[in-house]
Amino acid sequence: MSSAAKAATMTFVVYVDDASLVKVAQQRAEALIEKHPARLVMVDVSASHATPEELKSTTHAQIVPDVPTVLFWAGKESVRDPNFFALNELADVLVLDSSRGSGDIESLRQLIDYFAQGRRSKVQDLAYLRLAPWQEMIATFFDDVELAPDLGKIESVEIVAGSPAEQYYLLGWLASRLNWTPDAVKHSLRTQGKPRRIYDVALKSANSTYRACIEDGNGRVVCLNVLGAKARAQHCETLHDLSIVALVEKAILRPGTSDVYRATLDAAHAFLVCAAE
Amino acid sequence: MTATLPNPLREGLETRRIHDPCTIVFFGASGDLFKRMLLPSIYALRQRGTLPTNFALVGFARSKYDDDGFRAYCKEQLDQFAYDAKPEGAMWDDFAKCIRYVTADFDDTTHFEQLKQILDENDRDLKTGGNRLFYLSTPPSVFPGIIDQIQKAGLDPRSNPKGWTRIVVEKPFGTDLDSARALQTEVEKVFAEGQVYRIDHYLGKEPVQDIMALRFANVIFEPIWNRNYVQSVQITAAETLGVEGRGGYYDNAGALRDMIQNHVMNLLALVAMEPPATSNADAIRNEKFKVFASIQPPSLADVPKMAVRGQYDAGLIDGKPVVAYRSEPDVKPDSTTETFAAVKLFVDNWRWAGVPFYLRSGKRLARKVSEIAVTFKNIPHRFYGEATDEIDPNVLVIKIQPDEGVSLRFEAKVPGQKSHIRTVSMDFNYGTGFGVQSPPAYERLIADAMRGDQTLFTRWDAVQRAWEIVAPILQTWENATPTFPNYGAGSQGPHGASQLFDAWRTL
Repeated sequence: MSSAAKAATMTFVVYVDDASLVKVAQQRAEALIEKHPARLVMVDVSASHATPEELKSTTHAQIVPDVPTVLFWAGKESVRDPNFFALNELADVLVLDSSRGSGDIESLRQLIDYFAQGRRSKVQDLAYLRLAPWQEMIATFFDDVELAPDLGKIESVEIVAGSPAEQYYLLGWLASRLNWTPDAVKHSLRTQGKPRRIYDVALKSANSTYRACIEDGNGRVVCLNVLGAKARAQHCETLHDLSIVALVEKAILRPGTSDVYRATLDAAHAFLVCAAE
Repeated sequence: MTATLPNPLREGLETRRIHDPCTIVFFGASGDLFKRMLLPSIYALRQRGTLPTNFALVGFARSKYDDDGFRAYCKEQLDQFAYDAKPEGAMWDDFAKCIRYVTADFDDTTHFEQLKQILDENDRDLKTGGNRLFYLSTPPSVFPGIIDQIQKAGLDPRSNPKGWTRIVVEKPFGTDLDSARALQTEVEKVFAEGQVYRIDHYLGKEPVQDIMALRFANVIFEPIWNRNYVQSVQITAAETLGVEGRGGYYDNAGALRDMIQNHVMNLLALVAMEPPATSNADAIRNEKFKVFASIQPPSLADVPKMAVRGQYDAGLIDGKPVVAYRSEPDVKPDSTTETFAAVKLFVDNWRWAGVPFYLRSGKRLARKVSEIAVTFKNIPHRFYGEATDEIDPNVLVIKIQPDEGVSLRFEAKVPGQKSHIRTVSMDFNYGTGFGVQSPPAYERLIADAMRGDQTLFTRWDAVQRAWEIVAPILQTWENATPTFPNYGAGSQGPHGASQLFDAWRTL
């Protein structure tokens, strides 16, 4: 036993199928395991012809027993990739990002399908975790006891974000908490700016507008404004923990897929179906 | 108190925000503690989104400022001492709007009435809900006067039924048993125990909190955490620093009052206490008090066998010459104040009967180190024959600073045909293990006080008992003139310490 013995809290398996992403994925994984000591297993299939079973067997041999295995899926496809199911069998926690890559809504649709198949539930989607500071700020509006009754009277919502997964997740979250159906509330989703970033959220009742929007050029400060009948002084907050490493960290520290997340996904699905019609 | 309506958006959110709105009033807001520790902690809490949305800060001190002048002062201090983000842009503008100031004489009731007016304005304009946290960051001598004025101005909890009123009292809580009791009498005229937060910033340090996690989140330590397996416990809080401009305060305090009676005794309580039934503040503080109640104060006759004191002479720290304590600014040239104290105590209960707890603390010692070392008993059987003679007992060291972590010393066989046994150390370091720096203690403690969580604050019964335990030592030392200085700066401490205990861990 060396005097520099290091603790291990997990095996962190990173799956990559794009050679151009290997280096950056490894750097991010190494940054994470500096904070949460782990055995890192890089599964790079960009130049491999291994079958899913071979991949699973090779990966399994490198897993540290007695601590959880976290699979960070950075593949182009998820449920359509046979490797996804093979490696997922080894994982206690699956981390993916529905907003990765092209930024279209396809990844989120695949994830909805995955859950619809009654698959294991320890899934953490970074696109959803990215909402956390916004969820907190929007909730803050209605901690004010004078404003809380307005929550049941919201008539429309506008979301400006750089990619659709975050838009639908945020809309789905609001809908699941407030029992909205797609036809009961006006909703406007506008794609603008950098992918994976939310810029502006506005909830409107008959008399008031609740607006949270990015205030500075760096995108780190969000200012909250209540306008209209119950206007309040502006309040600003810093956006924290939005790097991939911070989000993955959040994902691995969560106990499992929450009921709120499942309800959010169901509601987002309803809005997606409505949009497709 | 602000009524809480169920907010459906809160379900499942991992919020760190303190729910109750409030105003925090810093008495002594132009002092060193405020600018270096308290203000940066508050601003970091604001940056992290921990402070309630409806929050205000009021400075109350003798220095002359108006509101804008104090805001500028705060910004200047944050530019220098903020450890998270510097004060700038919309975040700072937003924060600055919540800052007010009262130029005050602590004896003048009209200034406290002015404070009351500001707090009422905050409740009206900033929706702070009538909740007030008073933070005494002044010299202890003015604590009773401030508390008295709080009551006279109608700022006491009984006069504020619409919200909560709490008070944070910086250490030291008294300078001996009598003065602590006198201060407590003043405090309890105005505040109930549940409203008093006696701060010992040591208890807010992450590694101190980790002691409980190590003991009660693992099953392997508890079965051997008793007199059957433990030979002794050493608790060390050693510094290389001198009095660093605090000579005036320190010369009236000394190591026993400044460190042993509070910081070090609290560490002892965490090591020796029984597992609390719950993580609730009173459950934990009950167990800590039971430890103190099990420690018999030494008789006056036993003090020379149970306690050692010292004062540093000139010497070398990190190769650089430093002056003797008596040559420090604001220290009397014939001072008999101890800058080193070592004490041997026993916790007379079923778990710890007969196990000595050695506590030591000092300034200008060879190395800065705070740690708890639990030394286990020797092996019962010489399985390896003569090689067994070289076997050291196992030691579990909980490191508090500068390196935060845990190390376990154990024996291992050297590879080869011979039975050579070597001591090895298995180290876990929180910094490299988890790769994160612990947040400063004040940040956690201020947030806890705002949340109403008293777990990490010291209850009066424990403070009183700790003073009772050290009272005979203080009395004996006050009645005898020591031969000071008796250790060189940069050394292991006075020779007498090794007569008290010959196996101190080397600094």
